[in-house]
Amino acid sequence: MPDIPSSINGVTIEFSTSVNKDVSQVMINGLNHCIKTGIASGFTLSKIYISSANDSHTLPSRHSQSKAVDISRINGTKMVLGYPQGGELKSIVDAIQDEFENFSKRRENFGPHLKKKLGKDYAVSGHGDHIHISVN
Amino acid sequence: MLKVKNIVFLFLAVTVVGCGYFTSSGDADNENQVLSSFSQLEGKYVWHEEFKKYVYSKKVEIENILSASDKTKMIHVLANCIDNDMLSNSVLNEKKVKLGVICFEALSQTIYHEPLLENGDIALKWEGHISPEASTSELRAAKNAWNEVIKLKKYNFL
Repeated sequence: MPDIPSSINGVTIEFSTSVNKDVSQVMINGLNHCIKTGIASGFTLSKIYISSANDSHTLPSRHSQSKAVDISRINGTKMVLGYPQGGELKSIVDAIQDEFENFSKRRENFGPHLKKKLGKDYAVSGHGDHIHISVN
Repeated sequence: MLKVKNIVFLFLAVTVVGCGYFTSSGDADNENQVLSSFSQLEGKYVWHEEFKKYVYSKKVEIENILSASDKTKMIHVLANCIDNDMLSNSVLNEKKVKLGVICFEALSQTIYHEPLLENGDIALKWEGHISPEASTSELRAAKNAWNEVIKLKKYNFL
């Protein structure tokens, strides 16, 4: 399986030290779909921080199946701190989640902006602090 | 010669033990200082209709307080503090909130956990996710849930 690259569509990808970058090609395609420098109108996404991919979770976690990625920082700022402030971070997070909903293989899309599973609202708890995206 | 060697060994042993004592004592002082700082924060929980939740006004201050600490050690302290019912200087609807609520706020800015269903999808609810209006029993359940997660290392740093 491929590794998540260190750059996607011009956006720098940083990783937590515990991250195993080895994920499915479908997951890479999902990231390519929603991680773009101009994803949010009027703002520039330059960097994301992946807090989890294929690591630290046990089966049958989607992470351990190489089909999920968590993003917890945007442009160097933790979502848990920056999202409630509005502005750039919120706009970018909202745009990433909205765009991932348009990815044909999307499964879970949980984060501060919306929580959907297979395209339907799914009121999962938590996820005000990171985006969790997974694929079928 | 033997006597000198024994004396040197004893000196080194005492020094190592002494360093260990002061290190532990230093850690405890730092932890108490952090909790005291949390208790003194004059923050507010404000309801945000857009987010459908309360947002705490001193999140950046919490981050600054934690920045000087070893986060790997602090998460144990924060989890154990969740059911601390001492009143802090922070308020929700003009009423003081428990220190445990602030500890949970700090923990949730540091690590996260994703509870699972049998098929690997994320579970709908988890007792470790609480609101600042949590009852005493909910705080206690959250503490137990987080302690279990931390023990099993089923968390990620944000």
